[in-house]
Amino acid sequence: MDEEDFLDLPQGTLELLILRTLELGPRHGWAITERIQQVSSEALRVKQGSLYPALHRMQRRGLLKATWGASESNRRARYYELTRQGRARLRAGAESWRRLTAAVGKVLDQAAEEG
Amino acid sequence: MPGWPWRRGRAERELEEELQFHLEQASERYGSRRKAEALLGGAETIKEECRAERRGAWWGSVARDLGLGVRLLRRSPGFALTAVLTLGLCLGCISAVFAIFDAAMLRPPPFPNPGRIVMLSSVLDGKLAPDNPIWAADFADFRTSAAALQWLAAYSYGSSNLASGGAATHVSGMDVTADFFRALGVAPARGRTFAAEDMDRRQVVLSHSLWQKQFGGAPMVGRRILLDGMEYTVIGIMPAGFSHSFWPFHSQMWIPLTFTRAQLQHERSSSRSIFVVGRLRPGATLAEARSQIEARSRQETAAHPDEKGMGETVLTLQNYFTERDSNTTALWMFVTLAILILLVGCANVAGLGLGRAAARADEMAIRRALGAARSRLVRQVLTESTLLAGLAAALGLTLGWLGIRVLNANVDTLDAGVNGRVLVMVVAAVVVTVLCVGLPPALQSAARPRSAGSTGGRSRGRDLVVTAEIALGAASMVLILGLVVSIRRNYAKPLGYNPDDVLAANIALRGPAYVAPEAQLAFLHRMAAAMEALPGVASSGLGSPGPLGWNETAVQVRGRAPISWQGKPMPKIFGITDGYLKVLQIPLLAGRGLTAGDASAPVAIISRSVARRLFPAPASPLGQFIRMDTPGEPWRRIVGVTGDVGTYLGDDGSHGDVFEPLAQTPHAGISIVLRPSAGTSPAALISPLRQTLARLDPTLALADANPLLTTLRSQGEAGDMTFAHLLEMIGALALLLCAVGLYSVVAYEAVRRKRELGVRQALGATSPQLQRMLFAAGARLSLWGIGSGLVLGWIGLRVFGAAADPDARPWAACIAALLLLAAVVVVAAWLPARRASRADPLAALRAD
Repeated sequence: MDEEDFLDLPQGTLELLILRTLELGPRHGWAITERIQQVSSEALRVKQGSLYPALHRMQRRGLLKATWGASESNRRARYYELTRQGRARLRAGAESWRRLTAAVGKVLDQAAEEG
Repeated sequence: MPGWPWRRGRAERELEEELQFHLEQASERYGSRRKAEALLGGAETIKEECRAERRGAWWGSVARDLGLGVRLLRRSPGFALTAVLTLGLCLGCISAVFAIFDAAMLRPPPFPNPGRIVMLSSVLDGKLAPDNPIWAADFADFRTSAAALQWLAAYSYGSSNLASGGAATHVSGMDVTADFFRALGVAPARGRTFAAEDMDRRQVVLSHSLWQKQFGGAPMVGRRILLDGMEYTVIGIMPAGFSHSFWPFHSQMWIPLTFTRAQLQHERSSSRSIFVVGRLRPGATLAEARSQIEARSRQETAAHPDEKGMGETVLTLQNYFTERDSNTTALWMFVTLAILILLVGCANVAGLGLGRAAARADEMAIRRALGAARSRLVRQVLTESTLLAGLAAALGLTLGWLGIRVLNANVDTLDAGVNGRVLVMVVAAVVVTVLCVGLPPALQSAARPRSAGSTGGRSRGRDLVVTAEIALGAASMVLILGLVVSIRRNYAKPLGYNPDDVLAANIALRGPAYVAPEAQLAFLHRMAAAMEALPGVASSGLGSPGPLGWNETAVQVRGRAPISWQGKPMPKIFGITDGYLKVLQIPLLAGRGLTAGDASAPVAIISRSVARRLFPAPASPLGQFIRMDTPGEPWRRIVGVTGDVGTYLGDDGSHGDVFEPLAQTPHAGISIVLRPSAGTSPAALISPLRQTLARLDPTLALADANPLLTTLRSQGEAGDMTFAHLLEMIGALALLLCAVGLYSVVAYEAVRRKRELGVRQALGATSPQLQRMLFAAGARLSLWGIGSGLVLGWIGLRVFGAAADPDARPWAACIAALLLLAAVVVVAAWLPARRASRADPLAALRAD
C-alpha cells in the first residue's frame, strides 16, 4: 500500500481515535496503531511520529495513564488505559464529532443536490 | 533541561524501550527492520517531541532554550557583560525615575479612602494656586453652602515655644478646626481629638514624634503643658506616621483654630490665612462639589470687585499635592529621558545582537535546513534576550534602589521607594527591553537565509538601529545639556547679598507677656543689645521677616494716582534694625541706611527695582514719600536705595524690597542675623545665642538656628543640584552608549568586509583610503542620527525647558550637543576603521 492511499487525519481526531481504541481496555502503542488501521479498513494509519507525542501529551493532561506489562509475545511493553477524565473526554468528543460530521455531511449533500 | 537528572534518566530509558518495542513489532509486521524504520521515520525527532509533550511543550523548549542561552552567553562573555551592564545601567536609571515618579504622582495619600478627601485651592487668574491661603469668611461660607462636602475643616500653620525645664523648645504646629481629623479619617492613638465645643478651650493634640521626643512616651493625656506661656491640656496623641513630612499636614502638634469676628466678616484688615480640607459626602461626586464651590466663589468675587481674578475650586488631595509641587514638568522630563536612554541602550544591545546574529547565520541556516521551525528559532533568540534582560533587571533594580536612597537623602521632599506599582513599571520596561533587544536579531536569524555560509549583505536592520540610537542619544543630549545649563545658571544668579558666614535664627514673641507692642519692642531692644555684646559677633541685626521670609504688599506714592498692582510683582516689606543691612552686606546704592535715630522717624529704604518702577529716571526717589497699602500705615520718606535682595537661590530679587524700621512695626515672628568676626564659624555662635535668649526669657525658643547658606542650599539647591548631577550622569551614559554603538557598527562593518578590503588592498588601495571608506560608512549613519536627534531634542527642550526655565536657549544646547557628539563620532568611528585598514591583506584573504 502506498503512502498516498492513507487519509490524512484532521487536527485533533487522533486523540479521539486513541481514546475510542482504549475504551475496550488497555493497549500498548503498537496495538493502538494496528487496531485503528484494522477497524478503519486500512484507511487510517497512525504514524509513530504522531502517536507517541500524542500519547505523552494525553498522559500529561490526565486523559491516560501508563503501566508496564507483558505483551502477547511476552515482552515488556507500555500499556495505556483511560482515566475517568479520558472517558469523559471521549464521550464529549465523540458527540461533538458526530454532530460536526452530520452537519458537514448535510451541507455537502445539499450542495450536491443543487449542483 | 535543568533539574531532576535521575527522573530524566528513567523517563528517557522508558521512552527508548517503548519505541524499541514499537519498532520490533513493526519489523515483524513488515518483514524487515529497514522497511519498518523507513516507514516509521526518525526516532530522534519522535523522542524530542515526546520529551516536549511530557513537560508541556512550551516550558520544555523554553527550558531548553534557557540552557542553550546560558551556554552561548558563557561562550561570549564580552557580549554578555556589555549587554548586561548597558541594560543594567539603563534599567537602574529608569527604575529610580519610576520610583520618584510614583512617590510624587501615583502614591495614594496615607489616609483611609483617600480618593474622597478634597482640598480647596485658590485660583488666581485662571491658574491653580494651591499655596495661596483662603479667607476665613469664605471657609465659613463654603461650609454652609457646599452640600456635596462634609467635615470641611480649616487649618493654618504656626509654631509655639514649648517650655520644657531649661531653654524652651520651638515646636511647629497647626491650628485646626474640629473636623480636621474627621476629614482625614484618622483616629488618635490615645485620648481623643477635638469636639466642636473644645474650640474655646486651651487643648492640644500631640504628634507621636513630639510625644516621644519631648515627653519620652510618658502618659500625657490629661496633663498640661506650657505653650507660649499658656497652659494647654493634652487631650490626645496621634498615631505614628500620621504626620508625614511628605504631606501638607506635617506638624508636631495641633491646637484649636478659632476665628475673630473681623475674620468671619471678611474685613480687609484680616488676611488670607487658612487652608481647607474636607471629604466628599457619601454619594456626592467631585464634579458636584466643584460646581458648588465654584458657583459660590463666583458670587463672592462678583460682590468684591477688587478680588477680580481670584477664586476657589476643589481638588482631590492627590491632585492638590501634585499641583502644589511644581516639579511635575521636571518629572515628566525625567521619565521621558529615562525611556529615551533605555531605548538607546536597547538599540545598542540589539545592534550587538544583530552582529552576533550575522556571525551565527551559518548555524541558523543549518538548523533551518534541518527542519527547525522559524518560530522556534525566533523563540530561542528571544529567550536569550530574556535571560540577558533578567540579569540586567536584577542589576538595574539594585542600582535603582541605591540611586533612590541617595536621592532620598539629598532631596528633602522626596520619600521614594520600590513598591508594587514601581515593580510593575519596571517589569513593563524589562518586557520592552526584551522585545527591543531580542526581536531584531531574532527576525534576522529567522529570515530566509540568503545563502548559507555566505557573509551576507549589508545589514539594513543594523544600520537603522544605530541611526535610531544616535538620534535618541542626540535628543537626550540636547535635553540634558539645555536643562543642566539652566539649572546651573539659575543657581549662579547673584542673591544680591552675601549669605556666606551668616548665622540666621528665628524667635516667636508669643504668649500673654508679649501681647502689647511695647513689650515686644522692649524685648527686641534687650535682644539687640545682648547680641552686640556676644563675643565673636562682628555685626548683628533683627528683621521681620528675615532674609528667608516673604511678605509682599502693594505700595503707593504720595501725590500720585493710586497704583494698581493687579497681576504685577509687589515689593517685599521688611522691618529691620540698623544692623541688618550690614550683616547681610546688602549694597547701598544711594542715600543712607537706617540708624538708631530712625527708630521713631517714618522713613523707608527701597531697593533698585522698586525705585525703577516707582521713580523712573531721571527722578530721584530720595526724599519722596511712599506708603504701604494697608490701613494705618504712615507716609514714609525714602532715605536710601539698596540693591535687590533675593529670597532663595535662583531668585534675583526682581520683586524689589522696602525696608522700614522694625521698631515701628513690631511683629511676633523675628529673625536674628549674625555675622561672626573673623576666625569664628557661624555654627559656633548657635550655642551662645541660645544661652543668651534663655537668660533674657526662658519661655522663648530659638528656632531654625543654622548658617544661612546651609538653609538656602537645603531649600532648593540641594534637590535641584542632585537632579542636575543625575542629569549629567544620564548624559554621560547616553554619550557612552552612542560611542559604544557606533564603534561596534564600524568594527562590524570592517569584519564583514574583511575580504573585500583585503582585495582592495591587494589591488593597490592605500591604508588611509580604506580608513576613509570605513569611516565614511559610520559617519553617514551618524549624520542622519545626529540630525534627526537634534530636531527631536530641540522640540523636547521647547516642551519641557520652556516650563522649567523661560529663557532656556535650545540653540545653544543643540550646538553643544552637536559638537560633543561629533567628537564622539569621530573617535568611535575612526578607531576601528584605522585598525581594520592596517590589517595584513594576505591574512584577510586567507581567513575563513
